[in-house]
Amino acid sequence: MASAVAAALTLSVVSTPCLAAGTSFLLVVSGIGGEASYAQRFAEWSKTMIDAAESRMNVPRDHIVYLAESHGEGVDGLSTSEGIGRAIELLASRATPGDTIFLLLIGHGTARGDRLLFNVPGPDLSAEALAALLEPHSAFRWVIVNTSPSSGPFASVLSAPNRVIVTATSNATERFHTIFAGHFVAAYSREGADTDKDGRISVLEAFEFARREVERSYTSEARLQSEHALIEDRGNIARSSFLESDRTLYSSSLPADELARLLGERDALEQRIESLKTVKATTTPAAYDDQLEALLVELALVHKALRAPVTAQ
Amino acid sequence: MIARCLMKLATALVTTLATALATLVLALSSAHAEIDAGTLRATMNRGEYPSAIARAREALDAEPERHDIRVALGEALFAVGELDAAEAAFEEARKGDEEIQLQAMVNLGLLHRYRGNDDAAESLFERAIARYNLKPIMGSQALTAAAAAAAALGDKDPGHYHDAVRVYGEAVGADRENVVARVSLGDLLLEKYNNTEALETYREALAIDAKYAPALLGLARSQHFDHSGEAMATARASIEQNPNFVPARAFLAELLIESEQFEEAKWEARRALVVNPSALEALAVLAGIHHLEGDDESFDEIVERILAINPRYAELYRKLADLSVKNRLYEDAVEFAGRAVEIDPDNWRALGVLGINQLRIGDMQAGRDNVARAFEGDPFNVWTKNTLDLLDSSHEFETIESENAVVVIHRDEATLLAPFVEALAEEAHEYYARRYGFEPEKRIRIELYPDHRDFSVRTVGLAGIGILGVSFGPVVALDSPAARPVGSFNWGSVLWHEIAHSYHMGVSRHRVPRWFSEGLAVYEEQLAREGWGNDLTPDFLVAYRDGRLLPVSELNSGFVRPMYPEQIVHSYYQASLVFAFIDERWGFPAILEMLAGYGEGRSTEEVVLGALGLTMSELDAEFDAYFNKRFERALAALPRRSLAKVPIKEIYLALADQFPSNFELQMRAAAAAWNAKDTESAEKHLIRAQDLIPEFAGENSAYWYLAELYSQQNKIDEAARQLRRMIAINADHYEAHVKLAKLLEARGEDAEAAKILTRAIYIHPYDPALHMKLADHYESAGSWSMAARARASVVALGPVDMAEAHYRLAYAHAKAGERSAARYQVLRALEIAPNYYEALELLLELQDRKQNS
Repeated sequence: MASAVAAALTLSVVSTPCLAAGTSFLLVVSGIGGEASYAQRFAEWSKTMIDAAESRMNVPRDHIVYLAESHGEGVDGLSTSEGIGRAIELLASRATPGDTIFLLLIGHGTARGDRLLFNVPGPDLSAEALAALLEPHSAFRWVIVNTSPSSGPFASVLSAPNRVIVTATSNATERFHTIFAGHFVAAYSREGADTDKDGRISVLEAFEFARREVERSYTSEARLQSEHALIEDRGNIARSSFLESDRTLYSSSLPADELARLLGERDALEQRIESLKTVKATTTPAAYDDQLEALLVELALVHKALRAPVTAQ
Repeated sequence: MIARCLMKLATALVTTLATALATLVLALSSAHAEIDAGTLRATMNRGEYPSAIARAREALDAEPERHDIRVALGEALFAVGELDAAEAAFEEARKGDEEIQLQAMVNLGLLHRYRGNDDAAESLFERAIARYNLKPIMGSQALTAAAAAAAALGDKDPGHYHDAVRVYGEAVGADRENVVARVSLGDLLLEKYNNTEALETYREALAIDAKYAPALLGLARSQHFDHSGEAMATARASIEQNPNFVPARAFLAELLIESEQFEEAKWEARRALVVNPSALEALAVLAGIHHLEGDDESFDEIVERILAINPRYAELYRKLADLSVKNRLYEDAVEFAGRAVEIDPDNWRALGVLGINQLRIGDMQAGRDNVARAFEGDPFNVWTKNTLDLLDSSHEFETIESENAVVVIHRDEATLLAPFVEALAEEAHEYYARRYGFEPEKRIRIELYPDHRDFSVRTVGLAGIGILGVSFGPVVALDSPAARPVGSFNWGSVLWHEIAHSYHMGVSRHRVPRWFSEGLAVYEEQLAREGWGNDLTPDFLVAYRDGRLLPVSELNSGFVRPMYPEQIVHSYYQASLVFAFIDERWGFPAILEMLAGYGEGRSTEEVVLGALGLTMSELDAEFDAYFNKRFERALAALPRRSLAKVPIKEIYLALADQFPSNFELQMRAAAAAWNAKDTESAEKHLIRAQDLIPEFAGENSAYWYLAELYSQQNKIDEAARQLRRMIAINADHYEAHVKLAKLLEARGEDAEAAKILTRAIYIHPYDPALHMKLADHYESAGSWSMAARARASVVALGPVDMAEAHYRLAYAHAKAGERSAARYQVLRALEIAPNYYEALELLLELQDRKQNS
């Protein structure tokens, strides 16, 4: 069975060209479902995430690997520990330094003594084993999302610079079935998570969205909340980690240098706005708003240019 | 030192009297072998004071050196108001041994204080304490006296209260059977708001002597402190043991005043004065009744009598202030408490009453200052402590002023709720001012508390009150919707109700009785909006059928002395029906005439006779006839007795078919069918139940289940019809409103859906989705100002996507032509999300508008 996974992966990447820096990759791992209802739910969430990545985030299909407990439509391989290791190697071989690789683990998890495990076919995947798999690939930015019960301690085991770790629970004792994965996926597949309205969903936005929705869900059902999500973000990079590329948002027909210039202007204006916000408390409200308005008008004009259809040369 | 706490002193005197009488018994038994000590003690505890005095004098004639008997004689004389003779007896008793001297000194001190000779009293108390300090090991009775001296000095220095508690403990330690010390300790604890320990102490005393009248009185006071309806019965039990027990009769009179039974109260006070014509507490209560009845001449006469006994009797005015509060005369309370403080600036309790009532009538700064001073003087007073804590949190509240209202609301709710509160308050003012022909002197202050404990403290000084709102006249306070679970009340309706009280108080000069104002306020709710106000429930009808509802002539007792748990709720609805009846038969001017009559000091009997031409018994009969006619069919549908629960569907279905006019059987059958998923039968029995009592639209009514059933069957029109009928009666059911709005939307009736959602805001305004939907409706209809209001509510609720909330509000403002507001909001949106393209576009559009204008 393991060889079939390898074959499937190999077949799907034969013609993949080398990609520019700043692009994203996605590895979705659906673990053992156990009961049919869980297996179905895990599969649904996985597929929804992949659909969203492709259709909404414009992530090319060949940047995506989907591993599940059994073969089926859209499944690239089995979600064994070995399969996960191979998929990581594969995506790492396609990516270039600076690229972002998302690893989304959907399934059950357990804590056996000090060992924290994500349940997959065959031997479970421990936090330490996953850390070892990621160890050689520190040139990439990693976003690791473990949505399983008892996943909290994964964060401390995997924590490293240039990594964002999200877990569905804050500790190993939160061991009941979690709903975090569904809401995390919804952050990418539905409206409502892009709170800074830049057209993209950062990992931080997705995390916040999912955390709030989990809380709301438990409250509305009058249940005691048994999962409290956690984010480990040593490098403060969750805010700037996206599945979709910045460039896909704007006019594809702009010349590359013009696009780069406008994006640079945009970023500079954003910085100035951020700086202005730091002096808000010491500025009169009217003066603050006037200065903010002036910067925002400039920014609005940049955005108009970024979206404007290119006239014939 | 100025006169203080004479109520307490009187009780202390009487309890000390019992000790003295016990001493007397012993003395008599030794002097006169034919007198049995136990019999004498029992006789004296029954209040046969003249007999006790005669026997004491007889004993003293035989043995003039028996100063213990002389102390007892003085106390007996004091109890019947022979103050000069009592003073002489105490003075003479000071020639006795050390312990007798101490008792005589304390009693003399209490007597001096009773007459307003505070300096002399204080000096005696201090000497008594010095005597105790020199030789703290003494008999239980002397220790009781020393403790009473410490308690009497407590107002000067609160540390003395701790001493008093300790020495009372020593007295009990010296004699476990000393009920006088136990009751005095209980009284002190109760006065210092420690009712838990006070109650325990009274119970201990009663375990020793179940017939001891002062212990029963203490228990009654303790029950009253806990708002227990048993207080009156316990006070009567105390009087039963000692029919001449003046403090018990005075207390009972106070309870009767609270339930607005003035004649009965007067009788009790006068009965106390027969025993002791100088009984200050009974005279004060009598003065209070005269004041409440508007009988100024009698009031002045009684006050003159009181001041002749004690020209510095500040407690008179403190008592009058308390009685005024209990009868909703808050301005009078301020005036009386002010006079008490003028006489005795250290009367911390009066100062607290003054401050709290100043706060009630909206005099906030003076109120705050006085409450702070009162607490400084008496740090045991939890009432002032709680009020100060509440005032300390006032910085968390915002004050929003409109033309006729001042709204004070927590900052977290201000943006969301204030516009609705303001609008409703203005609507209420316009309506009530016209309807009642009365314009309040100043704007009504409306306070909303998101924490029920704060509301409770604002209302009664203590946490735990079970009501939703209160009107002090110029000030109205209520729970904000955040204070209670969703659907437990309609805050709009409560506000309308409380504002109604303010007008009733205004027109009647605060003399309208509780039943009248409550019933009329509920009736006003019912007229104001569909579904507002109390409505019919089957248990209300059962209460009527079983004779538990009171006739109109006694309805006030249903509010102030409920005899069964639901009686207050039943009384509210019943009282509203009284006004529906009067309005229907005589018209609203008759109600106005009655209110004006109360203002002129007339009794209910007089205003009813004047405005309706009926005696009270005629009104009772006429209302009963009206009630029977109005609910004829529903009453006939009630089962004669409650049915046992039988978990077999078929039995219910068969019985329900056999007795189609039995409401309970129809509901039981419907429930059984519902649980068995037999929707056809469920529908049949629900419809039958609904036909029998169509006015019942509570949570478990047929309306809700039929709506559910029709929704499941996708019969949208029928489901909507059920919900419409339901909320027309019951405006508290949030889910029914939301569900109906959804059904109406599905039918394309957006405007109607918006109306329903607007109603839902008065139940639960905290759901952003509700305001978003409302905004969508207004936007579709092109009502951009209304849309902006709804969008502002969304912003106030702080949804996840604040950038969008601000943007949508900015957009609504822009469409409504409110450029400046739009600019402000779009800047807030972009401050959060600078790359928000739609918001940037709006900003540019606003720039263009500015340049073009």
